[in-house]
Amino acid sequence: MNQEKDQLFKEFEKEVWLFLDNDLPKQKMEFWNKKLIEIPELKKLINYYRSISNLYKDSEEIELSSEKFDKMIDSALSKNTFFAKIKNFIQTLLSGESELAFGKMAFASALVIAAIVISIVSNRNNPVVKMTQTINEELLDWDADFVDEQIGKVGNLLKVTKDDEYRKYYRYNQSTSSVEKNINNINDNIKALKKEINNKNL
Amino acid sequence: MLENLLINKCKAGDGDAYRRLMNNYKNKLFGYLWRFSNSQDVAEELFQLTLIKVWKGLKKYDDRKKFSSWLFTVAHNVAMDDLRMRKSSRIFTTIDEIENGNISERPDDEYVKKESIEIINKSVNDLSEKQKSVFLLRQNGELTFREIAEIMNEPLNTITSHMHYAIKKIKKQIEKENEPRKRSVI
Repeated sequence: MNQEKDQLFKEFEKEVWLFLDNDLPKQKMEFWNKKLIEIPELKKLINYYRSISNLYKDSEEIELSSEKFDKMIDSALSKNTFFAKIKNFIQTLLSGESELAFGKMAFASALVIAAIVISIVSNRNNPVVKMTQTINEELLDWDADFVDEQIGKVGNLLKVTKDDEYRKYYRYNQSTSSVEKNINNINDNIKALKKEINNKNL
Repeated sequence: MLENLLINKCKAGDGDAYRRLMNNYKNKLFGYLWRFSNSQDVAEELFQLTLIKVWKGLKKYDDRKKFSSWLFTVAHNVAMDDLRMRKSSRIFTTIDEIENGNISERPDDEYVKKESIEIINKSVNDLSEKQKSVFLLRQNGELTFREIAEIMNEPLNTITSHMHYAIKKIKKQIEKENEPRKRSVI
């Protein structure tokens, strides 16, 4: 029996808030109204909430004075007046009732157009040029020198394969091992080429 | 009926009608904002902001919705925006002192009642943001839980759950505060 009561109490704890709002289905409302009479413990929950609620209400002493309230209302109304003025200005303009308003609008438009035209026509720095100008000149020169050097080396190697005299000269400037290696490589390549040509002729 | 008449006049731009309309909700609304912010100065700022937003928003207000519910939706959003801003700028507000104007026949009763009120104020202040919102909208706004669920854009079960835990916390706080007194009596 106690377990049943406990279960009922737990269930009522969940539903008490909607019960207080009379927001449960009709059958549920009738059910709980009946149970509240049968089981007094259930009322404790409602009574406790009401006591907290009453204490809380008693504690509310801070009020806004009428004077402050009136000032705040005036402020709220005046803020909206500014936007209402803008709205009225536009409406007047569209209705064509005021020539002066039209004149002001035309002048303002002309200023805007002039600003746009000036910004288009005026010289601007090319951002790409500006960017390249920031690149280090030494860096650019170094790249060119490196490429030149490599081309020179390739040229020399080609000459070595064609010219005996140049081979001697080259041998003189390079160490023996690297010269012999290079010559041997080139010889091998030439032999391979000759062989290929012979095969094709066959 | 009268309220609908005032609202229609407000929509037409009648400032006096707006003053009369808001005068009916002045105490409830200010009370809610004061409790939420825990500062009279902040509450006044929030109240001013709410008045501006309500005046602007009245033109779009849907008559089918209950006015108090809509009004507290605006106020709640204003309060929440302010809370988020204050949290991010780490401004801490202090609790204002409350003077109990109620006079009881027995001085002891008055003292106990005053203490209980202070305990409740502290307990409400210690609630989580959502529990506090639900509790204050219920107490100050006198709104149903269904209306509160709509304002806070949360399921009804969640709202009643917040209320349940809010009351439980307050109850626990009161019991905790009362314990030393009970022991001293023994």
